[in-house]
Amino acid sequence: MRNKIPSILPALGLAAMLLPAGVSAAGLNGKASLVCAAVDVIACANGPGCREGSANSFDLPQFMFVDFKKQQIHATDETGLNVVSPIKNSEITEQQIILQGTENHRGWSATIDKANGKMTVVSSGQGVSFMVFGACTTR
Amino acid sequence: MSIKTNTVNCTAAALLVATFSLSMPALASEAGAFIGGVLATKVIGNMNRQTAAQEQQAANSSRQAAPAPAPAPAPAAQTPEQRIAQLDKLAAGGYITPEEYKAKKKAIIDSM
Repeated sequence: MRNKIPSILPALGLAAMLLPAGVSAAGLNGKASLVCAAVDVIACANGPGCREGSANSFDLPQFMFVDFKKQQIHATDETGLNVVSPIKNSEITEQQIILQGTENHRGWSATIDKANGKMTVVSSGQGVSFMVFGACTTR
Repeated sequence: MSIKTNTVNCTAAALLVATFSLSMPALASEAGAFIGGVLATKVIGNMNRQTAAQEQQAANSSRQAAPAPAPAPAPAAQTPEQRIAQLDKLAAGGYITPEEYKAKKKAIIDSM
């Protein structure tokens, strides 16, 4: 898995090259809305252990959007339903954007590296924990 | 290597599509829970499917790997003398009635 995370870096680089001037990783400031792509997933349960695979193999929505104005992360599922997670707590540090929330008896935390857009989403609850790795850029 | 390349390509494509479709229209009419809802459901559902498939695979491979049980050794054929001696022991131990003893002994003798 350690090898998979750097695999998104070329993609981010390519995206950054094609982005309009002024829009880059520097735009990851916790104010401009973000679009994020999930790449890899690791899920662990107390008992069966951990499973990992691509976001595609887990049928995750292709994109998720971070809207700082509305304080929410949202996506559209395969049925066209808009799904939303309210951000209950956010912290913008020098290096990272850290967002947290709770939903359906689960807690979640999303961390986005401001320098390169790498995203890690962790959710835990009810004996199951999962991590989604991906990358974000400004919309 | 090709899987890695595909992952990179997919991610690049995904990011590029996302970058250039800045005003993605909202397809939805009503909102459900995302991370604790759809995301958790899909991840956990997929994990359960993977676990079930892995258990099935393990069960199949253990069935294939397990050696066939050795056939039970055939009981050595007893001579009439041995059978009658065994019968005597059963009668002496009170395990069979005198009638049963007589009937069995007769059957052994008749089979000679």
